[in-house]
Amino acid sequence: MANEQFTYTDEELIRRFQEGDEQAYTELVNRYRNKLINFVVRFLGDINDAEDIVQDTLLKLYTHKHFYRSIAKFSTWIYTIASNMAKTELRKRKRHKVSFLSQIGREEKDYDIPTEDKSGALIEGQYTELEIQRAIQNLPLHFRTAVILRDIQELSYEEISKILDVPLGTVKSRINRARIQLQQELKDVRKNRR
Amino acid sequence: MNCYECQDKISAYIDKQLSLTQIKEFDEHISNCSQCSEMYEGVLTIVGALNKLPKLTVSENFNGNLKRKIETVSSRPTRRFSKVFYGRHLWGFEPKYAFAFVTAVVAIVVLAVSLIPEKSPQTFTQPIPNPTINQFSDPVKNKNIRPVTTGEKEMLVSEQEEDSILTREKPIRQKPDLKGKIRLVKDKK
Repeated sequence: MANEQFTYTDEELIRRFQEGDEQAYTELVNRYRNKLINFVVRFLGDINDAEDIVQDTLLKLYTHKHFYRSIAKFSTWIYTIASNMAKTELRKRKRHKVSFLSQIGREEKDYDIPTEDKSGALIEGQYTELEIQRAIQNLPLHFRTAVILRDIQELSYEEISKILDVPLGTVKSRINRARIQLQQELKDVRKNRR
Repeated sequence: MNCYECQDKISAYIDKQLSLTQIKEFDEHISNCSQCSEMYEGVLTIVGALNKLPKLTVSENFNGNLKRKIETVSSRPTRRFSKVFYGRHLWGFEPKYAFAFVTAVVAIVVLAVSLIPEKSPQTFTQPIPNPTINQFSDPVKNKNIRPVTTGEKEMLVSEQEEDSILTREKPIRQKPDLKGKIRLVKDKK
């Protein structure tokens, strides 16, 4: 996933930060803030809460820097924190809005996608961004996380396996099933559009 | 390779996770099965679309807000103190649950205490009143009852002694008054 070439690796930066170098922390924030916002927005479907979650993730990095052990990749660690926080947020929403959602039904849920002006444009000549986002939102949580990490964050199967703390075979299966479900849902969307 | 195996391997094929033999089998199946071929094309399109979703960026004041959050956390009291009094959780419980839990425990204790019968020390020394002997010994007062024979008296006295021993040993438990019934059964014999 990391195509960029940096002077210091993520692991070197976190080590420096653990030793008290605040500049290293700023560098890590700048490297990961946009990656994390993409992950959380696609997971939640909402930019406003997503930014808060990313900030909380990076705040946790600041306050819990000594919890990181150099045996793991830094990216795996930070995505695990972000993923857990996003799931907690979803659970919180479910608790608070369960009655509201049951009234409006599944299809009527609104997603606050920041690039609304672009969502009308077709991606790959097939689907709009909003259609894809809705289809992602309809995936079960464990499928959703796996497919976002793979196809949007472009992480390897091994990294996803570590982040989700499940065997490699389970990751492969989840990604495949998530993609098939997305394909079926979007096929229906395309049929209805015609 | 059948359809189930083929559909199970679509993503592995796209992500180049299959061995050469598996790739050959997959290709062969796809070329002969329109249903699997259609599904493969669909998944391939989805993967391409997900990769091309617009990349989002954080707002301009993101770093500023993060800095403020860090300052707030840093200005809090010591970690242990803040964990107990400022966090959402109170020793592992959310405050509202902790309050409910404590209330429930207090209610159970109060109920349990109120249900236990009060025991006075006299209960242990007082013999259980047994009207049998007086009842049978005074035939004038109890006209409806026939006079007790000597044998019966001895038996009743020994029973009373036995009862008083039992009363001393187990003072709380009161024996049901079945003496009349027992005597009648024995009389029949």
